[in-house]
Amino acid sequence: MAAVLAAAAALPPGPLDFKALEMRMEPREHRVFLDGDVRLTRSDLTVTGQHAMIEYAETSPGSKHRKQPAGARLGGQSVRLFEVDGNVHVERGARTADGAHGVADLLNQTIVLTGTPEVPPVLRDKGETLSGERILFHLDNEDVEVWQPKLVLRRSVANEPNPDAPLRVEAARLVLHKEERLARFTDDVIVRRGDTTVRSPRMDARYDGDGQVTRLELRGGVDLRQGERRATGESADYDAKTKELVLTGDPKLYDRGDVLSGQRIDVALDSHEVRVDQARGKLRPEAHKDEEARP
Amino acid sequence: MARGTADRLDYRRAGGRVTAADGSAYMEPTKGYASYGILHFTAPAADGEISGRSGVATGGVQLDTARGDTAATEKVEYEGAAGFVRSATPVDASGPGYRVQGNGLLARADGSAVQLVRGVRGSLEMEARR
Repeated sequence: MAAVLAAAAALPPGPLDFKALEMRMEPREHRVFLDGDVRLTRSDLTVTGQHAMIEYAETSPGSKHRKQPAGARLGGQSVRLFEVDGNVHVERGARTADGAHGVADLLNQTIVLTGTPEVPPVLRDKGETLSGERILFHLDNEDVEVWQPKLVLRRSVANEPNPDAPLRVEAARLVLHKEERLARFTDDVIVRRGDTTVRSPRMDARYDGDGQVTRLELRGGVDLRQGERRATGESADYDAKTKELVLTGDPKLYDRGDVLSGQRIDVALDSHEVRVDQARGKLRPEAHKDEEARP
Repeated sequence: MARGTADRLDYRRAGGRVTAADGSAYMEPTKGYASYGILHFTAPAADGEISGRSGVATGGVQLDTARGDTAATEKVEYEGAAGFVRSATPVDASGPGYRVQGNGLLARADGSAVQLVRGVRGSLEMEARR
């Protein structure tokens, strides 16, 4: 995940280089087709695929000196977009992505990568993998947007005794802000780790310079489930070092008939220990009779 | 309609065969290639059959357009009956905002499609978003 946020610099203006086995120009359709081992490169950005279509806007003859809108030009005409199909592979710095179809909008400086219903597009950065319904790269900065993201934060738990229990994050949308080292998940955010599931409308994941997750900030109402235990609050903060989730904003803990509220509730995701500050509530010891005493 | 000149032109009436040296021709396309403006072809040698509507230009064929495009290749064949222009030699083309190199050319004579084949590479000028 690190390099997703910390990879290459913004692309400088410059030519878009291309290679292919064949190039077909259709002047009447204002399109150029590239077929066979297509490779498009610009600065540190490389897009490969089997087919590409370059579409440009119509201009009248003799208009070569007229000021063109932003974008690439082909024969003095403004290239609006290009589409790439067939095992589309995008590389930029340490970041790579694969999908079935890519559309580069040169006026808005974006590339949108999509997949198939069976195989969604995937973004990789070293050990981290992110998939989603749609992945949007900004060409003029390093931000990435993902629709229906599914993210596994393996590197954040690389040193843990149980590395097979990484943080898995799903949401309706994800925006990666490189400069702020921030990943903002919105709409139906679900975080899973082991038997713990946390839901919230919005979550910010913050990273250090090495790309390690340092903190998760959930806002707008948080619902945590851990086995039969449930905890709620207005906000929650997860510290990757302590592996504790701190619920605030009228936090409540529900556990086998016990109901506790307090100023803040700390939940240790590994040990399952819970600490409630300024607690008040009701406990039902009879509900815990079948539990074995723990040291 | 094409107009042209040549340093030397041999015309054999029988078979309608024409051979030209250091030829130059101007065409003003009205359809397909119209957006390129007037086309100017030059070739050190050209050999054609008027009746067969075919010809071969060799020795380094050069195309310049009014719009500012240029294209060069060693040899070009014209098959009027099929409506194709072909080249099996490397083609270099450039123009406003682009340059492209291919290892062969196949184009419809009416300009509806131009294809560079057997390996193509090039670049398109891009500008940053304003």
